[in-house]
Amino acid sequence: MGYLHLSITELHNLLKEGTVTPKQLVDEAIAKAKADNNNCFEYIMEKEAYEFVDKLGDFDDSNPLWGIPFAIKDNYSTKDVPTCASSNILEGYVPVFSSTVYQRLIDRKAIPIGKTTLDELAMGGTGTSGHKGKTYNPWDETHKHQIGGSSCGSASCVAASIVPFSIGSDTGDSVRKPASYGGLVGMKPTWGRISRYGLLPFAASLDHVGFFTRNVEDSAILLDVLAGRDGKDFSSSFEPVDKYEEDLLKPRGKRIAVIKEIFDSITNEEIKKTFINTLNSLKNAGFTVDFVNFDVKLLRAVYPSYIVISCAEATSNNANLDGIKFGLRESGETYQDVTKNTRTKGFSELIKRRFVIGSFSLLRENQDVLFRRAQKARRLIVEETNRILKDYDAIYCPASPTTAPLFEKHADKLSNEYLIADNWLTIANFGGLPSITLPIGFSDGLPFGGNLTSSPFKEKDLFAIASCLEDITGLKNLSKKGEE
Amino acid sequence: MNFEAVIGLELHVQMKTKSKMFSSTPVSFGEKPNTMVKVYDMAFPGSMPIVNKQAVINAIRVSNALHMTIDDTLCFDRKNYFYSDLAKGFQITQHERPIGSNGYLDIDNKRIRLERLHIEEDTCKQIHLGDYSLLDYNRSGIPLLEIVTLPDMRNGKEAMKLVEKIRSIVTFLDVSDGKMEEGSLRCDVNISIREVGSDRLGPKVEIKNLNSISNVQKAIDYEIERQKQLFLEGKNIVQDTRRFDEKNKKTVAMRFKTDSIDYKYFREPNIPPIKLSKEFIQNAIETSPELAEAKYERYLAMGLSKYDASLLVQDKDVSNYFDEAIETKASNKLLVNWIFGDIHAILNKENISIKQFIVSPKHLGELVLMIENGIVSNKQGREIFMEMLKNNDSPKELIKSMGREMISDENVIKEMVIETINNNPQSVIDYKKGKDRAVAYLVGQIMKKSQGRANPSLTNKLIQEELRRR
Repeated sequence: MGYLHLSITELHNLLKEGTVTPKQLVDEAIAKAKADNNNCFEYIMEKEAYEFVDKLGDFDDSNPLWGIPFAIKDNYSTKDVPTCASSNILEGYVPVFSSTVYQRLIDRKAIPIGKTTLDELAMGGTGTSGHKGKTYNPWDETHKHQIGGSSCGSASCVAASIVPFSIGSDTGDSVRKPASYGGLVGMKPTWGRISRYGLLPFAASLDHVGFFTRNVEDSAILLDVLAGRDGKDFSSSFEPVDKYEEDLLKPRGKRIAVIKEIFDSITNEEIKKTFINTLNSLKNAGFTVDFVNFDVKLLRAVYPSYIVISCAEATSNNANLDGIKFGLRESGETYQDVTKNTRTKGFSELIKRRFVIGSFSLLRENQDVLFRRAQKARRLIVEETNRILKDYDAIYCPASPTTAPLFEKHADKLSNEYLIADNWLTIANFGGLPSITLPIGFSDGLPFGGNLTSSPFKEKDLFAIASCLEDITGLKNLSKKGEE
Repeated sequence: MNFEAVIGLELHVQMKTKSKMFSSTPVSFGEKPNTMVKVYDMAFPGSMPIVNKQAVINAIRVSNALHMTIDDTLCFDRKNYFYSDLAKGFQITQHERPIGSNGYLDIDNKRIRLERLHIEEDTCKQIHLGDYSLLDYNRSGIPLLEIVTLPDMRNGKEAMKLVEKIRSIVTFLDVSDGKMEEGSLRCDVNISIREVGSDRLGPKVEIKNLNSISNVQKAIDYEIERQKQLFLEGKNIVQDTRRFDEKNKKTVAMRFKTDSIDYKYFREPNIPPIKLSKEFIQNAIETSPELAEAKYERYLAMGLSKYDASLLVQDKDVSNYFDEAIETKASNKLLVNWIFGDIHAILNKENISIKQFIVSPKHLGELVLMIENGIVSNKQGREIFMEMLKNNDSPKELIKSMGREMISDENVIKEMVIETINNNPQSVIDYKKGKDRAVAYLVGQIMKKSQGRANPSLTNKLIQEELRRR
């Protein structure tokens, strides 16, 4: 029997008592990572992890991350550790610098176990497009269901009890959707709350640092460590950082809005029923819960606007991958050939399609009808959301209309269920809003989540409401292999 | 048929800030290739831009000197294109909202309108060798100002004068070295011709890579003639990009200009718009270094001639040297003579700038002051100056160590005078006969005796007194 199905706080107490040592935790994590059959890892940091254990020093009771193993998505730059974002284009690339997020975690003596798989360059929501192939959902041992993406490896390794927490990134819903499919707490705070320095950009205006834990308290602990201004990221905020964990149980705002159009577009009756049950419990716990309206036209515009904006930014953000300076290099007669051959070989077809869409929408003759129009839609959607959040402390809806989908499942991409319920989480990326997914139920043995989204820099309130919801559902510390 | 040329300029000014435009990498020229590079400058994945405040202050100061409207919101955009010298595959620039716009400069009573000034970052340097190229990222990310004029110039001279004026502004404001030869000031010219009175312009030709101010004029004047000739011969003027062949004094086609590239501009998402407060802008302007025009006026007010004043403001470093030297209260005019006489000759001979000149302005001022006050003679001053060229020693110290202090003690000189006259009775006779040469002869004798240290005017006076008494 191991320990890594336990939460950060539980492990901290065991380390304090001396019941377990950091080395034992690393032994267990490395063994599990090596035995992993869900394709969670791009690179297992075995040598590095033991070096960190050797340098830990004395136990520090004031530091909840002391000696705690974690995993980090392979689109975070890690000094001296290969970083390829699950793409062939970055084959052999070993960064000379560390992302702020990674640096803060190792400074706090958390122990990195590995770099996790993702949809190639974080573009995708299925966990299938990385160069190592599909990543599986630990809740389904037959490997028929997705864990979702793009932070697929980070979600799977926490769900599979390999590590108690992991770092992901969230541009559309890449942490909060896999969290729903994996029975995890997936959090992304306000844009600018955590430095993105060293996170390989997909679409900078939408990119967020996010993380997976197995309960809300652990999520608050991580934000305590990661939040704050970073001089290396000009967009990081000067807003003072709250004490998220300390204030978790203090009473906060109690007004919750449910967007009727999102709820109505869901067809899975079990999810709807479970969700309604949580609403009733919240009301019983003293919350005001109202169904509110959101212009359906705007909701249906979320996904297409997202595709246009994210692909446009992505084509520019990834233009540095030209075969000249680092990563893959294919030979060619001229520099144009080198770049063309490298990019032709290094990117999958899916990525190239996104670049074409992005480039097309930025062309002078198309900007008005595509890129600028998408930006306008984004602005209107955010305004509509802020209008609701003026009167409510959080928006609460099912995080996804289904449990983890089958790999071969193809959604009807023009249905309201797909366009609205399967994509509404992106609204939080549009507005840079803090947003957290946590498990609210199971269907056929697969978990599904609810999502709470609030106004910028209201993470404290969001955690408090999420904590109440967690108490109501009783669904915390879920993990597949941790169950006795 | 009468033609006139329609000329517009695009200038790139490389700033000499301490660090690069969007990274903390130090800016230092002449270093080994690829040693002034951090992760951002080579576009390593995940690196992010940080705005250089001094570069923004510089942009405000230059915009103000160019009489431009200054935008109080600082916005940056991405200009997307692939090129081997462009690390990120895009350049961060200011497309939509340049920090400066709608300015002008007056050239010989003619107003040249300036469309915009914006901040951007330089690309890396390419060195093409045979069938391969080398990339030096030291230059990648160095701050640039781009200044775009409206097509208000009509000949090479006007364009040359505009470049000269802008060069003066950016150097006096300490923004740039402004050296076209070294690429810290670059000028591209757009030029087309039309019949006088017509508003139908011929095709626009671009001239790039002009490496000196005089070549701006030469290239334009050649190009105007070339286009005229083509027109008169009934041939087509091709819309192309040309360079100036210095040896043959001709412009040469580099490439055809096809439809302009679509740069797919969009707002830089990693730099949220920055509100520039009134105080910040005002402070940047108020703390601006003095422009050449202001210095010129100041020099006239302190009594210098127009000629001297304009000589001084031709070079910022020279005028700064002068400004420091006059703090010693030495005579303006004498200092100017020294600077444009002896010092200028030395700088030319050694091919160095005044910044590299060993004698500090303070020491020069002290020397000039001593000469003025008769502590040393002109001749002695020059000797001391030659000594100062060795180690920039203080002239006061040098006088002592050289035993070169002037003898102005009346008793000492009188003694020498009496002795000399006693030894030269003939000179008394000559003097009585009215031969003035006698005095000069005696002065010479005393100078010899005192090794040139006797105060000449005092010596002269005492000799005459003594002769009259005999």
